[in-house]
Amino acid sequence: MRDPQTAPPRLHLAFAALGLGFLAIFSWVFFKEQGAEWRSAQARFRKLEATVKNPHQLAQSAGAAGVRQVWLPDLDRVDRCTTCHLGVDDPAFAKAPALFRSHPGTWLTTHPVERFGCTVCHDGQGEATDYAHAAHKPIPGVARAMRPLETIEANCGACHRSLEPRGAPRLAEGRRLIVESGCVACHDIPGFEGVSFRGPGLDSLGYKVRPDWLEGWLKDPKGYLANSKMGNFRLSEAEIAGLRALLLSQKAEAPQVADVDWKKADSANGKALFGQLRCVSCHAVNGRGGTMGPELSRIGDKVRRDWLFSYLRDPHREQPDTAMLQYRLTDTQVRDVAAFLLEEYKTPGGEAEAAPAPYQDAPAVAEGRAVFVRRGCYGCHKLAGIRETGKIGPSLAGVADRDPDQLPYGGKPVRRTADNYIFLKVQQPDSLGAPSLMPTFSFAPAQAAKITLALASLHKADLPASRVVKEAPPTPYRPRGAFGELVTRYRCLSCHRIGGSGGDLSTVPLDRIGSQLQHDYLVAYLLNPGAVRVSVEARMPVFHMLPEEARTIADYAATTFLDDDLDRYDTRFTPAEVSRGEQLYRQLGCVGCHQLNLQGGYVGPDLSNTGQRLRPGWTAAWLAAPNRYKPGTLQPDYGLSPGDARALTAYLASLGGSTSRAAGKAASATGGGHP
Amino acid sequence: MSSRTLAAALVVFTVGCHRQAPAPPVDAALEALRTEEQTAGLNYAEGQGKQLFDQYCATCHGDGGKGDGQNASNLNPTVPDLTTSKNLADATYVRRVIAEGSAAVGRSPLSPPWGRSLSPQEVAYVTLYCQALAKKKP
Amino acid sequence: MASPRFPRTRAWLDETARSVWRIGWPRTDKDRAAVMISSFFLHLPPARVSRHVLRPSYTLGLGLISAILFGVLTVTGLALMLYYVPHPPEAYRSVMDLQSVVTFGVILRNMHRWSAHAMVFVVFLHLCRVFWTGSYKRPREFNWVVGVVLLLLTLALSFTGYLLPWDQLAFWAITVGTNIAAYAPVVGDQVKFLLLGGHVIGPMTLLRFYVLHCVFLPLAVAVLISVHVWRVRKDGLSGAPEGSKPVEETAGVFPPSTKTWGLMALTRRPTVSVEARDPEDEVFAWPHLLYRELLVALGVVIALHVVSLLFMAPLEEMADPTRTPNPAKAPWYFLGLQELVHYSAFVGGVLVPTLIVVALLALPYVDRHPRGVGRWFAPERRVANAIFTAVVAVATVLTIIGTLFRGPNWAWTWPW
Repeated sequence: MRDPQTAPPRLHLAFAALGLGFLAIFSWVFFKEQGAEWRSAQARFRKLEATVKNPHQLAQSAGAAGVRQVWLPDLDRVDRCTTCHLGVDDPAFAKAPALFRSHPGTWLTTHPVERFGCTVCHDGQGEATDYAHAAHKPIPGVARAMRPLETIEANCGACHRSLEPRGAPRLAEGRRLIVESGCVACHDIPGFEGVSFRGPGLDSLGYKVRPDWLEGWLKDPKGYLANSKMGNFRLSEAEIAGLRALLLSQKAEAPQVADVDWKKADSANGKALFGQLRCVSCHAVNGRGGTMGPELSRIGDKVRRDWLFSYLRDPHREQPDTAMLQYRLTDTQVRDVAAFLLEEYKTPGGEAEAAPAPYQDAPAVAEGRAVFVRRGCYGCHKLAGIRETGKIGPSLAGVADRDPDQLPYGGKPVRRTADNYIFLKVQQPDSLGAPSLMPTFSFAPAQAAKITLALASLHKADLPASRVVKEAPPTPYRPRGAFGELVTRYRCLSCHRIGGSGGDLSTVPLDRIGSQLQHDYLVAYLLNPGAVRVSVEARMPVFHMLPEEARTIADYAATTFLDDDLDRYDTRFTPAEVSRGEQLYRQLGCVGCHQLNLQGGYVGPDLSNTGQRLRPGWTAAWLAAPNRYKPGTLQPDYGLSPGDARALTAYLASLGGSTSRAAGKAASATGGGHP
Repeated sequence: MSSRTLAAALVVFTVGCHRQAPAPPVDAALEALRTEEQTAGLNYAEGQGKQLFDQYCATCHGDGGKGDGQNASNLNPTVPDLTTSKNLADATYVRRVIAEGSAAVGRSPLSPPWGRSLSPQEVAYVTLYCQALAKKKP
Repeated sequence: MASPRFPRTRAWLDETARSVWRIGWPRTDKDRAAVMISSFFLHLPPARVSRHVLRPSYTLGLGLISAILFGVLTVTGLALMLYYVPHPPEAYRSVMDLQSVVTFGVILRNMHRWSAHAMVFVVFLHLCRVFWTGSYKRPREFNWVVGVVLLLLTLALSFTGYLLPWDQLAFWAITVGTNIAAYAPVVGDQVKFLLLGGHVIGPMTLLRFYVLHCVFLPLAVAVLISVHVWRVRKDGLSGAPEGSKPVEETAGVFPPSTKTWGLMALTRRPTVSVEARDPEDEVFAWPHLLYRELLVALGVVIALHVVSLLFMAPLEEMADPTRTPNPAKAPWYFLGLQELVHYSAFVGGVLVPTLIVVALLALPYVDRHPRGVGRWFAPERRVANAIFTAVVAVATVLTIIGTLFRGPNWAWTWPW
């Protein structure tokens, strides 16, 4: 057979077929690239542009062609989301389909895309240019898929480190819960370094509590106190017995009893005093009242009479760190209040108290000491003779970045993420498969979720300082001298803030109180605090202060707690200004919230005696810009011109007393109000 | 062994060996927040609006916007019932009342202007919440 | 024949073409031989081949496919080198950018990855084919050894390339692989240190693997492929004609199947070296062999494109040395070993790999039985075939187990 010169026809057919296939494949490759998701998205956007009025006010997406990216070298991120999300920063696209719609709200005004990108808030894989790889939905092998909006505030917290970030209410609530629940007592938490949390000292507990109460409390604190800050430590019977023995043997100082006749105790007087002392401002009874102190609804079950007497006489002797003030009461008054409390607020049919028995059970006490250390009780409660071994819980720094594959989930059907671990741990610490020392706090699921948000903002990597938003913690305010003693005795800082530190029960910071209130009014008020705002439940208590104490405080305020801008105000008002002010008063509808001569609303203070109460410089400044002095106040900002503010001030200064007397007093205090 | 027994054995074998499909994994914190929203019947923006409403408006307008707030009995003219008011359908009108005060829309001056106390974002939230109040079935 | 138009232009074109291609498009037998012999690129294959070589059912073209895949890998690899940065974390970013931003980046990366996996698999099949047809016996022993070395180099290329994306998958696969290497006695830790450029996998490792993957290993493979093909040509294709008796080995320095052509291709007179087969049984490589090779190349490239368009190469998140995925799995071709290591580190990490490699290298010098060359599953080689098939089956089963049936903590899981 001769060597065929040419290839057989079937090979030519195969060549033709494969060649066509080759061309087809190359075309497929080419068209796949041309039809890439982002290219077709941009083509659709260009069509949309033509139909929208005034697009590109911000000229960001004009002429969109090609991949668009935001490079943030300090955050080590590249975000290409704007390749497809082309209308995100342009208000003209507010009604466009979801992909091109402008960002809702005003978030991009405060967080422009060029400076923040998108993944800082939304998570996801910013470098990708298609839907799937951008992790809009979770994909295997990628840890950070996009966050659903409900939990997005966890990312706010990565930069915004203050304890109450405005605009992130869930995060703020979560941080508030962390502060209130005392997590810092056992865990080091970044951002909460300035927060301290202490329970009451236990050194004299043997004198303070009834033994049967103590057992019930250790078993389940919430059984006694619904809003107890102490969690349930799930103690065994042996541990409770040990702690009971240890704590009831603590008798460092016997209560200070006075020579009073308990048989003559007058509960009715006690009740009247209870109202006058405004205990409910801090202590709730039967569900109503403040939460700074413990609820008193069943105080009769808990404390011994002698201890209660000693405590009410001088709380600082029993508990030096307490926020409670020391009233200036006589012994009989104290007796009456104590008797009232013990009779009124207890479980009906309870046993009478027995004298504290001496506890000699040394092994039980030793066991109790061991439990006290093992369960970390010293994190909240000081106790003499206990060797503190540092915070018993692990540090929560970087908890959001813990390896989700190494975390326990207790067999629950949840996705394996750090968020879910934190949530389960906060809700039910002992349900994750291993025994846990952490107490159960009985958070509602939504509360636990908000705490999770706050903790999910704690990342391992440090942010550059230019990205972190936080306030410096306030320096603690510790006045000295006679004034300092009074502040300590009457615990002003439990409710008021000075220089940023203090409590929040009162909405009145005292930094410029000397420029706000007139001296004599302040003295009278301290001696007999009335209701400045009728609708508010928490009120300043009647201290039973001595007159010279009130004067010391008012004098100190008038010389120290001043704001020079307010004091320079010209208080020589003309009658024309007063009548214009009256007109404005009607025009603006102030009567809706303020009482004036028994007419009007109950939201703001009664203005009938403003002439005696407020200093005009303060009134004018307050009316002109209330949010500057009290952010979040209910006093509206009417945008008053300085002239109008002055007119209103003139009118208010004329109320409830002679203007000239008020003006004269103001003038003498500041040495003549010069403009 | 009869073919029926064999078939039965095969069915049992197949069914028995088939593992139960595991429940789809959830995000617990997310579910808790969603439940909270659903219980309240409000979405995120409306929930934010509710918080602001409770702080600034409820004293007069009442917790549910019905005009039964603590301070309402002191006011003349009386506080309208937002849940039945027709005006709330117009978002622009609502926003004006909130930001500029009721005097700006020709009514009494008793509802103050909050435009300088609230950010535009917050005004938008409160607007949405008020509109949600009007839409809700009692 | 009428004279063609534009004679002077045609003559000019003709001369220009001839300055590049000295032999023009071959139209005579002389030219068909000359074009193969005098071309730089085409002188590797012989000028004439036996007709039976063209039959695909003998070799299945596996060696050819391996070489084509190597070519595809080289081309796609060079293109990828324009974008890839061999230093973490830019390594991961550059691969991510290839996927997201670079035009045709996705197809380029996918082609490279799937060709790499295919090459390992095809090379393995080629080895099986050569064994089952007994084509490692005299005079082809050394070519078998070169082939085994090529197999090891292919595995090394795939392994070094596996690390380059620097994602979780890559990082931990190489961790497992180098840990298995460390089980070797005496030298294990040194080997690991050499591979890693340190004690942990880090930037030095990546650079080292990159240079190995792009320079040393491809050069070595290219050289050895050339040697391999040259030996094939010199030793002759082992496939015997259908139905004919097996070739008897005659005494002499050159076994009868050696063909040397050179100028002798131009004559039809047999010489001493030419075997007793019918020279009419042979055809010119141009066009018959080369055309078929072109068709195979087209087919392979089309298949690779289809696979690359349908399946994405995986890219997990960036490598994190503090987070170990559970389970961490070696690349698939080492999963059989990893499965064995699970039972015994020494057996799986040291004993079995060493035995396999030594056995493969020593095979042609141990099995000198001359029978059974050139046919699939020749009955004379029953025992050898059985042993080899058993080993291959066990290796396959172990690899499948490691891939599909092992979950977290290497516990048995059902993949459905």
